[in-house]
Amino acid sequence: MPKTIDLNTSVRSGDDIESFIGMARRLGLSGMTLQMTMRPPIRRLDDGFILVARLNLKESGLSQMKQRVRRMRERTALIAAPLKTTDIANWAAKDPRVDIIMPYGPHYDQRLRKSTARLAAEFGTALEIPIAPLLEYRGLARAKMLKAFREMVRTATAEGMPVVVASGASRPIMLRAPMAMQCAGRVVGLNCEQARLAIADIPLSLIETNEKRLSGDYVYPGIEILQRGEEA
Amino acid sequence: MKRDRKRYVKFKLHASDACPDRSTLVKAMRKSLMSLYGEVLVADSKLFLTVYDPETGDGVVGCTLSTLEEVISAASLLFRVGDTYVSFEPIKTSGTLKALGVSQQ
Repeated sequence: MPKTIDLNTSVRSGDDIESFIGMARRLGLSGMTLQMTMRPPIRRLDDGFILVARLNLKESGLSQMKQRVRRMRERTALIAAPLKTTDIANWAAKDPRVDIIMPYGPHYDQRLRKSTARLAAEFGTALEIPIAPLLEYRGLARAKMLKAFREMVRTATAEGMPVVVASGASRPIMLRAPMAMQCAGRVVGLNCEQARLAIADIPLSLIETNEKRLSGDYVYPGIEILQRGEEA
Repeated sequence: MKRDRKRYVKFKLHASDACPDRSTLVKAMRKSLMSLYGEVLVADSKLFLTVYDPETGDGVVGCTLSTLEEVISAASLLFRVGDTYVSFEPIKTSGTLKALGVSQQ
């Protein structure tokens, strides 16, 4: 199985970290996110396990979100915006500081517009599908959620927007093994290859890109300092 | 009549408490499969728990080749079995038990 990093785990307190890491290791994951700030925002443990600081934007308006992103970008490795209004979704899709657009609860029944997906594809923003609500809901509520997820995935893949599948776990037992995450990807409408990319290659590339961005040598997409000259 | 080709999936069940017993687990797997894909697929899947050790959570589930993907997907979305929370980890798939390194109970 390729290196798999779970991009969405709701670890909020230091007490939970050990149990989450233990479970993630048992399941064969290579890394996970923490919803807290840390320095550096991407940390590699002795065995190569990767911890990534992530911020989920929860502000109600666009201007508050922009302010928060401005304050937090240097302190977190991943920023995720909710698929709320068209304004917010379009801003998140084209702002290079935002990495992920995600549906949000309790109903997860938002719609991803074609134009938003096209913008996101252009700027490399990914759509994240969480598995946790699929575990917690049953019957008609889950069917409605699956309908929304499958439509989002169909729009995203049609427009070339990257899709990632993450657990969204708020407890260690909600974490899923890489193969199980890949199967969940199939349930929401990804094909085999897309599901593999959604759990392995795309999350890893998001993290590697942001690691580069957070290093002092990054200037702008496509521009980075390769060698520093002597000061005059 | 041609027989359906079988597949076996080796798995490990991670549980919050003690792992559920054999019949509770297989019922939960069938229920999850039915909830996600319907009665026809449950019938076609011929799902059965070939090997299962509740002490370790290691086991092998058998099904037809045509429903293999749906069976793994439904099992991966198992969360609560009885009073226990679980995480299903598919490890390896094969057409024979021998290739999985297990013998039938």
